[in-house]
Amino acid sequence: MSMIKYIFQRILLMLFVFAVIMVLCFLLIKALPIPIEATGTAAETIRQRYEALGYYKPVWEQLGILIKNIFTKWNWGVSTRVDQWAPVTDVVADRITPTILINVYSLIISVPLGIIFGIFAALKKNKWQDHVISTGVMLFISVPSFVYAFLVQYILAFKLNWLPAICASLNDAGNSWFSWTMFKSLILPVLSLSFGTIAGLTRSTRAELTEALTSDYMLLARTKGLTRAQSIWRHALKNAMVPILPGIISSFVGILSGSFIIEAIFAVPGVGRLYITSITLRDFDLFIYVTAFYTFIGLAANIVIDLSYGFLDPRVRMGSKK
Amino acid sequence: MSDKNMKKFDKEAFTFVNNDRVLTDVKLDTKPVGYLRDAWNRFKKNKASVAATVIIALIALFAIIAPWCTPYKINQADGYYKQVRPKVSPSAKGLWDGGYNQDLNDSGYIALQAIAFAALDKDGTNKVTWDEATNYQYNPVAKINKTFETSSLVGSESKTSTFRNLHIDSYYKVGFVYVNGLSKEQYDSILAWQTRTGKQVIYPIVDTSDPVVFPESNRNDANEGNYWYAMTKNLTPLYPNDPTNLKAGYHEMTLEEVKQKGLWALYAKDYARDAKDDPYYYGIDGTALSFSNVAGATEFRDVQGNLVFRSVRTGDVITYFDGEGNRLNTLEGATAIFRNADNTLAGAIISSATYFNAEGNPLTAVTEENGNVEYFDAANQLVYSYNAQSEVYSDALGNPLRVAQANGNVFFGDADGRLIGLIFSSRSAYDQDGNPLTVQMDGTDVLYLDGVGDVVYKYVPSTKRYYGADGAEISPYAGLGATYFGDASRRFVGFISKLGDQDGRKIITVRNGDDILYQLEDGSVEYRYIAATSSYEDGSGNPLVVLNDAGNCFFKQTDGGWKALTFETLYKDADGNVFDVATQNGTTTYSLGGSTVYSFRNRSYYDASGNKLNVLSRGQNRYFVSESGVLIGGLLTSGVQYHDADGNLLTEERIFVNNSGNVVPAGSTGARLAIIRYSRGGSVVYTYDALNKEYFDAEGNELTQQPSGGAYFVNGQNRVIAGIQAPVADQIKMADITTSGEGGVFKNYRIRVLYYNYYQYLNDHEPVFVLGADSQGYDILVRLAHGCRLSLILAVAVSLINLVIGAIYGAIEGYYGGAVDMVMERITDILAGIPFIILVTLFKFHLVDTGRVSVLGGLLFAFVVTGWIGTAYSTRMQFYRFKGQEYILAARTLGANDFRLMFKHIFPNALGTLITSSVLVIPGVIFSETSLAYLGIVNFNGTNTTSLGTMLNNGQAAGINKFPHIIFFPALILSLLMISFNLFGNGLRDAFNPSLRGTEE
Repeated sequence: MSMIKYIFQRILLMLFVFAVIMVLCFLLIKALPIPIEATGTAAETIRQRYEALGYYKPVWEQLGILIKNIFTKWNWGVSTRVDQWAPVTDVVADRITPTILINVYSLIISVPLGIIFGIFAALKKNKWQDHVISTGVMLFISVPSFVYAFLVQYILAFKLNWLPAICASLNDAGNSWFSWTMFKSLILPVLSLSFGTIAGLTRSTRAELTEALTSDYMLLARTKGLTRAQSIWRHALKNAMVPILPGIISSFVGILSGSFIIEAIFAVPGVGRLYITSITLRDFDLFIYVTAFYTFIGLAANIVIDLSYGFLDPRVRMGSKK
Repeated sequence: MSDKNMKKFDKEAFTFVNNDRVLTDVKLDTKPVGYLRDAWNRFKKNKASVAATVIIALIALFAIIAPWCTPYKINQADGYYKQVRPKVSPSAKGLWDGGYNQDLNDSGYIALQAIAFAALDKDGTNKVTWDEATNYQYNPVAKINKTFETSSLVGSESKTSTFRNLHIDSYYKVGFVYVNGLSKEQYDSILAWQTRTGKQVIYPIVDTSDPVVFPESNRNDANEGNYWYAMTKNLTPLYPNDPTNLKAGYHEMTLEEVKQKGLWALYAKDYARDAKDDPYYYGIDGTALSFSNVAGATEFRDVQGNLVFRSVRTGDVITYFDGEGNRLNTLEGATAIFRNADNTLAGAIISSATYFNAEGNPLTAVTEENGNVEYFDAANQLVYSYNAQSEVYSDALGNPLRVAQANGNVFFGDADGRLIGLIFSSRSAYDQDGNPLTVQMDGTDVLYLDGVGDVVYKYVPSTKRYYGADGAEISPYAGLGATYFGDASRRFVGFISKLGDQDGRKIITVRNGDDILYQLEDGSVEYRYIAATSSYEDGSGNPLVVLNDAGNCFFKQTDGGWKALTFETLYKDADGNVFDVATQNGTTTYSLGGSTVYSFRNRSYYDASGNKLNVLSRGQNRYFVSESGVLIGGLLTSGVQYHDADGNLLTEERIFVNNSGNVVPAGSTGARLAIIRYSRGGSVVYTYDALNKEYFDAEGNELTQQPSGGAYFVNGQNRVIAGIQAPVADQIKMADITTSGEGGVFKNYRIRVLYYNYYQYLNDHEPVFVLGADSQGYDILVRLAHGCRLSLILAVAVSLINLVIGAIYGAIEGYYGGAVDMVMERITDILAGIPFIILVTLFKFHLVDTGRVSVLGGLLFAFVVTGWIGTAYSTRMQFYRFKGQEYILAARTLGANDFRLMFKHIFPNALGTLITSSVLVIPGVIFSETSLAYLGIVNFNGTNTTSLGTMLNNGQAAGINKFPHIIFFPALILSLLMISFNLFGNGLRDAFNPSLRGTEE
């Protein structure tokens, strides 16, 4: 029962923090002047539409209207610069598929690979395989993802011409996000995104498994008569995985925010690029909506990670306090 | 033994049994080692960390010292050497020789060789052989990598062409450029430098007058200096068929031919001499004018020193005043101005726009200084006026005029652009009874009001929903191919659709000859379609109107009735009479009273007799309408008219010839403009030869055209009353003389230079960019060093500030605990929840864009606002761990206050982790800064500043496949920095906390 109460408390707290952040962002963003990029009668038309949308009312009134609109109609406003007068929810909904696609593909590749590499490195600890993998991990963690993206793009796409350099447009790929052409053009961005995640997972898996392998219960398992493989599979791995799983969830969030750059390099029409565009073009409603989106995901992921710790590790559940 | 023996012992009886000098109790001579020294010992053993430290030190050293090692400064950019490749030294060969590989066909190969030809040809005699050119130092082609043939489809035949993969030196490739605006002193000093060093800088000027051998597209091209030989517009070299008779034409050369005969040079024929000593401008009466710049204005005085003209420049506009200070009307749009040998004005052809009103009567436009225009008719009465500031047209009495909207209206004009007719469209709304509704906008919503002013319908475009008078949503009937009918007064009667009629009854379609009957199940005819008139009737024979116009909506009521919102587009003529519009077989006819006025088919309009009508382009025309949409006037621009210098109108006559030289009408195939004749009162005044671009007077003498650089002033009748004519320049071989400048020295030289040598004249060293140049011509080495400096300083500053703030915050949190801790934790939660990009963006918008803080400051703020959270957290952890220890309790009992306890006792435990985490912050900051600059959110680009991320962004923009060196070096340095800092941080962590070694997080 206290578990439910705890979850409930956490969720309330998260909503409170979310609300505070959103109000803060809203106030700060509305304090900026609204640019009108036209002259003469066109400017007048635009100004009238802005007025109809309520941009010139006092900030508190706008906040009230926005909250009312969100809760009664799920109307977050219209995008004024990116997609003329289209509702913001539509604009984002159009672009969310490629972002989710890239992130999911990247997770599918990197999680198994990362864990396998980590296990391999831990098993062959201090031998040459371990050193190779550790060096690789160090390289891939330190260097930013866009350096790899540029390298991969230059070598694989421009020099060797094996894969297309940028993401294919929806038209070319036969109007479906799941066609083969689209997939081929997404390979490079997914690869660039995965490097960092694979390296991180490898590192943490290796560390956890090493610690598990040197613990007492492993010695007991071996003396009991289990073979090395059996003892590792049945005992060490399960214990080592416990901190890894929350790490996977947090790497999902990390990929989501890291995909900004990859989307910009490979011209993927996703939410990250939309976000950057809304910032540079000062499209306020879109900015608020995408900010809310990312903030919410970040905070929700925090809760899920915390709860998953409790879920997976009975020691935490039993309440060992800090 | 006796007692007395016991009392006396001889000293010699005693011998040392144990006389060791060596003590077995060795004194411990290892001193106690301090915390930091201990860590340092451990750190030294970790080879990777030591290597990383060395690399970091090297990069920091590079960042500090590199700017002194190159001759370039950070703000020095050379526009011609944009994007050149890295070159270690002027004579480098091999990897870093400033070259790149490119596939070129024959013409491209010849074009590069031509640079060497021209460089060797110092006096323009063109006696250079192919081999000499190939082996010359200035030849951009360093090496031919391989030759291959490709075939391509040209039209329907396939053509093979030879391609060569060449290794081209990007420095020599620049070749020759034109340099303008040199003074006589500068020109002389270049000549002196040439003699002193023996390196030729100034090369012969090219004669660019013949468009056959010097295509117009080559003029003002970036490579113009290299186009010194006869070529087509595809750069294929041309050679005269008969070198002694150039009128015999030219043929294209193959590579073999070029090797044998060389290229045909186009150097200007005159030899170098000083330009005519002509310092004066001239009035149109031939008086010489000298000019000087006085207090921001330019004054023109005659030889006696009287002020004749004065000019003031504001922005792009130059205003002229006469000697008394009266403003002069500058002539705009002169086609040609002619000048006599004695510098008097010989004549002019001046163009101006013509205006008509809607009836076709010409109007004259008079523009005032503030931009307002007034239009007068032939009787000099004001007809229209235009206010430039409010952009409003008014009639003669000052009433504002409504300009007709362009959409849907068609205006017909005659060949001179006079309005002869129009079709004017307007869209009206009706309800289900045929009553008209007024349309009104409420924000983005559209309201339809009835005659009393009540809202009948409301339409919200963003949701595409309709609302009734009570505000409730109403949904339109989803047609399914329905045909809607109304009676003669547009009252909604009903419809037929696949689902039945308006009452839901099933409709049976029955053919009756050519007509179609729509019957109900009981056999009664509800509607009838008459094929002969293409119209519908109801069962009783009353004619019906089809209401299928776009946008029509029909709303079914709960009581079975129907409400409707229909639209009708009406077409009217100039007097407001409504056309009857009918479409049949692809032809739309507009009729009045039964007779067709206009018809439209095949995208053209025809009048009643079937003649094609000329639709007036709307761009400059303005049509004025009344409230009800009736045309009340118009202001039409059509074409230009010409007049001479006295303001007399000239008639223009254009003569076209075809290829065989016969006169043909304009617009026929193969017609080419040959001659334009300007006549006044029937006799030809000027003739223009389009082929040779020359003007002739009435007697056939060639007229000298006035060069640009002067100004002419007209009075109200368009007569040229005064002018400032620029001096005429001589074309000389080595340099062009253009006029400008101050006082009596009026010469500015325009020369063609070999840029490699000119660069050495300017900078005293050969151009060598060790890491290449970026897209604007900056040296990458210097920029990289400055970028490293900026990034490193930013990172270290952020790290230190975060360390201090985080440590203090975490110490207070951890020490006091309880409510203080909870509140502070909540604050950290909120701050931590804000995504970083938002922070950066908000700071950028509020502080940087408004100019209050520099870009660096804004970014620093953003980092500092949330960066300390991690440090605070780990400090807090440490405090919780050590707070309960007994020595703390002991110290408190002894009377230590809070502050002393916090910072002298508990805090040093955390020192190790703190230092490690603050060092590890540095690569994080560098990474964030590079990402933000790369995405373009933060921009450090300036002539004096740059950062690593900005350089990466520039490299990305330049194109990785074409200029990889621009992105490669910053990426390399960035990667090295990040890896080294991470290894360094790992080493530190192992050194300070050996118990954590191996867990790595």
